[in-house]
Amino acid sequence: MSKYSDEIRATFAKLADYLVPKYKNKPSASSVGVHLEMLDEVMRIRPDLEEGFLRAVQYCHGKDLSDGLNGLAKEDDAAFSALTTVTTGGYMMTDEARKAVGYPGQDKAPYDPTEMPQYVTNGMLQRVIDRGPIFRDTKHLDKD
Amino acid sequence: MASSKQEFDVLIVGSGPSGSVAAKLLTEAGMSVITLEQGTWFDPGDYPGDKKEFELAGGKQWNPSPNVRDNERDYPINTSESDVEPYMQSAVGGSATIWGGHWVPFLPSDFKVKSLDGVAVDWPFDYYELLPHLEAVEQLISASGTQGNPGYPPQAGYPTPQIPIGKVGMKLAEGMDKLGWHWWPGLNGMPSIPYQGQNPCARRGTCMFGCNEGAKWSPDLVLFKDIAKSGHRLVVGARVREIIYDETKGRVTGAIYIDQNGRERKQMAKVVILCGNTIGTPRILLNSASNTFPEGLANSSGLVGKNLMMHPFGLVMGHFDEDLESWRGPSGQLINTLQFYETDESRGFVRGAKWGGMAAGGPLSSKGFVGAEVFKDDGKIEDEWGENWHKMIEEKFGRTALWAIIGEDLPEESNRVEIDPELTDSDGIPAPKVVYKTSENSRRLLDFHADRAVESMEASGAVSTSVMPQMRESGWHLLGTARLGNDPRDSVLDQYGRSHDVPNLFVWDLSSFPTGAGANPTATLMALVHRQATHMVNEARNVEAA
Repeated sequence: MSKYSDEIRATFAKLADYLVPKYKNKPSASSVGVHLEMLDEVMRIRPDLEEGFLRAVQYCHGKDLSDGLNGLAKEDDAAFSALTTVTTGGYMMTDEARKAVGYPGQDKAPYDPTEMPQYVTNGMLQRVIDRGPIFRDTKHLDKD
Repeated sequence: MASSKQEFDVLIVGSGPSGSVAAKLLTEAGMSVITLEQGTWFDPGDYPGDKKEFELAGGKQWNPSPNVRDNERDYPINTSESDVEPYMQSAVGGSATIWGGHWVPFLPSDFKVKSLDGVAVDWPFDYYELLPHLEAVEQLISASGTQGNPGYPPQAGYPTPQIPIGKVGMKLAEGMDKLGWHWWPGLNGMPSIPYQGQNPCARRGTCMFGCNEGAKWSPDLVLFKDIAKSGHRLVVGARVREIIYDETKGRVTGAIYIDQNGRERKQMAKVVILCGNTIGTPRILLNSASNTFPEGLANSSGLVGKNLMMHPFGLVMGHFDEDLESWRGPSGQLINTLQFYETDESRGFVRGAKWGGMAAGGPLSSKGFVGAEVFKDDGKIEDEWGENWHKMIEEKFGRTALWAIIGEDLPEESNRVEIDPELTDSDGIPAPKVVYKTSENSRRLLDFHADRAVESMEASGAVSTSVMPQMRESGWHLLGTARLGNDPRDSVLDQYGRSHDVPNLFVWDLSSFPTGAGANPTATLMALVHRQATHMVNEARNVEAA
C-alpha cells in the first residue's frame, strides 16, 4: 500500500467512481477497493500501465471530474485508456463485482461428449446434410 | 565461435506446428534431427486462463503481438507501413501455444484459384493429394468433431467426439437454420476425451492465452517429449542469425545461432529445413546473403519475402436478450459456416470467407466493444461510462455471440517482408519490416460478409449487432513469402518445399503457401508438412546432401 500516495489513491477513487459508479446491485469501483489493494494487484500484473495511469491521475487532479476525464480522453488517449483499464481490470477481478454481473470466471464446464446434441435430435443438422455438398470440386482439373 | 562437433542429418529452425511435425516424422524415420527454437519452454501453470487476471494479462505479456509483449525472446517487427499487426509466439511449440485450435482444412478450390477464378496461382498439387496427410495429422492432434460436413468432400472422421457447441453455438446455428444456410459443429484441435496424453477440453474459453488444461494440441505438450526418447535434440533459446552457404559445394551446411547466453554458435547439418514462420523465415533467408545470393539465400527469383498474405479479419457481434454464458469455450470454434466461401463474381469480388462462431470472452472484452474510439466524433465519456458502462455490461456481457470472418487475401508482390535498415533484436540481428496494404478485393469481401453475418445474427434473434470490419489487431495468419511452385522464375520452392536454388535447403512453414484460402491455415500447414516429410523419408537416398 506504500507505492502510491494517499493523494493519488484518493484522486483515483473519485475518477474510478465517476467511470464505474454504484448502479442497481453493482458496487461502485472504490467500494471494492480499486484504489487500494486492487490498484497494487493490477500494477503487479500490468506494470506497463503505470506510466499512463499516473499521467491520467495527475492530469485530472483538482479538476471537475467530467471536465478532467473528457479533456484527458481528447488530449491523451493512451493515458485515458490506461486509467479505464486499471479501473475496470481491478473492478472485474473482485468477487463482489463478479457476483454482481454473474461472472464465475473462466471456469471449467463439465460435459458428456457422448450425449446426443440437440441439433441432432431436432433435425437441424440433418437439414444441412440434406441440402447437399456446397464446395466446388476440382477433380475435373488436370493434375500437374 | 563455438561449434558443435556433431553433424546432424537434419537441422530444423522453429518448433511450431510445421517444425514439430517435420521433427517427429524425420526422427521416427531414423534420421538424426536437431531443432533450434528461439523461444523457451512455457510452463502451463503460468498461463493466465485459470486466474482472475487473465484478461488483463492478455493485454500485455500474453498478447499475441511480439511488438506489444516486447519480451527478450521476441524479435521486434517494424509495422509502420502495415495495415495489420502480425501475431506470433516465441516458445517451444511456437504460435501453437496460443492458437485457438480452430481446425479448418482448406477446400478443394483453394488449391486451384488460377484455374477456377483466374487469379493468383494454382498450387502444384491438389486437395486430394493432401487429404491422406490431413487425415493423419487429425489423428496426431487428437481432433474433435463431427463427420459428414457437406462443405467438404468425404473424409475419414475424427478420433474424438464433438465438444458441445454451447448456448452461443446453438443460437448461431438457429439463425443459419432459419436462413437455410450452411453451418457445421466446430472442428477443433483438442480432444473431448482423454486421448494420447492430452486431457479433454474443459471449455474454459482461454485457448488463445495458452491452455491450462493440457488439452489443446501444441507441440510442447506431448510431441517433443515423445520424440526426445527417439533421439531428437531440441535446443531452446537458439536465435538463428544466418544459414551457412558453402559457395564451392553449392549447398547449405548448417546455421549460425546465438544461444541464451549471447554466445555465437555453429551447428552443422546435411539438410536444413526452415520452419520459422512467414516473417521469421524470409528474415533468415534475407539475412543470409552471400556472393552467390547477394539478395538473400535461395532468392534468385527475387520472391523471398514477397507475396505476404494476411487474412482480412472482421467481427460481427450479436447481442441477445437471454443469458448465453458467452464467456464459455472452447475458443476454439463452436460452429462455422462455408455458405459464402466459394467465388460468386456477382458480389463484386473473388473468393470468399469462412465464419467461425465463437464465444465473446470475459467482461473486459465487453469494454472493448466501446473502448476509447467514441471520442473521435466529439462524443463525451459519459456516453459510455458511468451508469452507461454498467448498462453496456448488462446488455452485452454473457449475451454476445460472435462471427469471426476470415477472408482470402490474394498474393501481391508489393506486400512483403524485408530487412529493416535500423531495427535489430536483442542479439543485434537485423529485424524485419512488414509492408502490407489491404486490397480492394479484401475490403469488398469483408463488407459483403459482414452484411450477411448481420442478417444471420438478426435471424438468430439478436436485439442489436456490432460490426468491427478489418481489424488492425488481427494478424493471426501470415502466409506466402517463399512460395511453392513448379517454375523457378515464379516461385522460391518446388512442390516438396525444396529451394529451387539450393538442393538441400527446404522451407516447410506457412511461407511456402502459394495462396492463403479463407480459412485458418494450421490444419493445411500440418498436412502439408506431413506430405513433405513423408516424401523426404521415402526419397532419402536421393536427397542431395552437403
